[in-house]
Amino acid sequence: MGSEKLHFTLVSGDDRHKNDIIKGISRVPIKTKMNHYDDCDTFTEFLKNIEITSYHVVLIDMDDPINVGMDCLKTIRRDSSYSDIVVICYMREEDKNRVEQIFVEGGNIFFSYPQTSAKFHEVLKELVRINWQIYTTGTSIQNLVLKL
Amino acid sequence: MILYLKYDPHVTMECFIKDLMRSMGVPYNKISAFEIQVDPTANVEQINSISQFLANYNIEINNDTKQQLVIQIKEHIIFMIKNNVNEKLSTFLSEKMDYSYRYLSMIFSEVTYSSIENFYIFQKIEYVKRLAISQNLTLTEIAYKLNYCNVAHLSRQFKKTTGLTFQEFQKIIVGREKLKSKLQ
Repeated sequence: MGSEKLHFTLVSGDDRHKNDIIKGISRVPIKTKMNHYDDCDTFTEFLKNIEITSYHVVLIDMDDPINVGMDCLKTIRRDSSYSDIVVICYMREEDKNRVEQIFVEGGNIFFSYPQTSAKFHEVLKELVRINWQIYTTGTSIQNLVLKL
Repeated sequence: MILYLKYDPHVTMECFIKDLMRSMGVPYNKISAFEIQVDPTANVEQINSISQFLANYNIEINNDTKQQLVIQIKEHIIFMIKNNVNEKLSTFLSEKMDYSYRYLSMIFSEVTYSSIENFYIFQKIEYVKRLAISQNLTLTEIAYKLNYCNVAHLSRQFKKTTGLTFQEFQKIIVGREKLKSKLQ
């Protein structure tokens, strides 16, 4: 547990989200590494070329019209080499049916993009804390379904 | 063909370590998912060979005392949940570990950034999910099995921890199963 990091990758073409999330995660006192991809194709190319050895968390913007977040989620979940990756999906506004579809397609954690920075920081802190707990306890992500 | 696996990571880990110790001929007294109590008759070469073998699987032998304490806390909590120990968490841990609960809480938060209570509830709900999926139990049956005073209490705890009702969770699991069958 001492020197390990949680590896986060954000897939979103929205610059504001990129800045908010990268800044927010870097403030959490748990060691993290952050990557960012504007679109799902570049991200999946990146996945193909790396060996997933550390705990890896992917954040997908489900509202992004260019990325088509749901396709990105399906790409990750339908390749068994990525079954250990925790997938977090977010939307600006919660839609009950879409949230259910996200979980059925294999999303692990869902959150609505917070409107205030205080709430946003709280959500990111919780996301990192939950992932750290899962990682350090070896909890299986097979049944991991959480809505923040 | 894709084979979908169902397993309990703690049991799997325990079996893996037991097989390893037997195959390497290293004597031991007790094994759990987080701890190997090596018999005092084992020699240094044997212990080094275990360490080297485990390193191939990204498993390290932990020498940090605070982390060892946290590992023991987790181990006791998982034991409590799986064996339905109906005792106050703080009393159980301080009696088992011979430290004050305040001290244990402090070390746990320092290392994991999470409270002991939070970890306990999270693991308990994970266990509830496993029982629901692997044994097809209803929430009422699970509440009875885990000594909850009433099903409403478990239902509230489930919703608070996962953000979903138990019924919503079940619907998602059924949906995933259907999707798997469709994709096969």
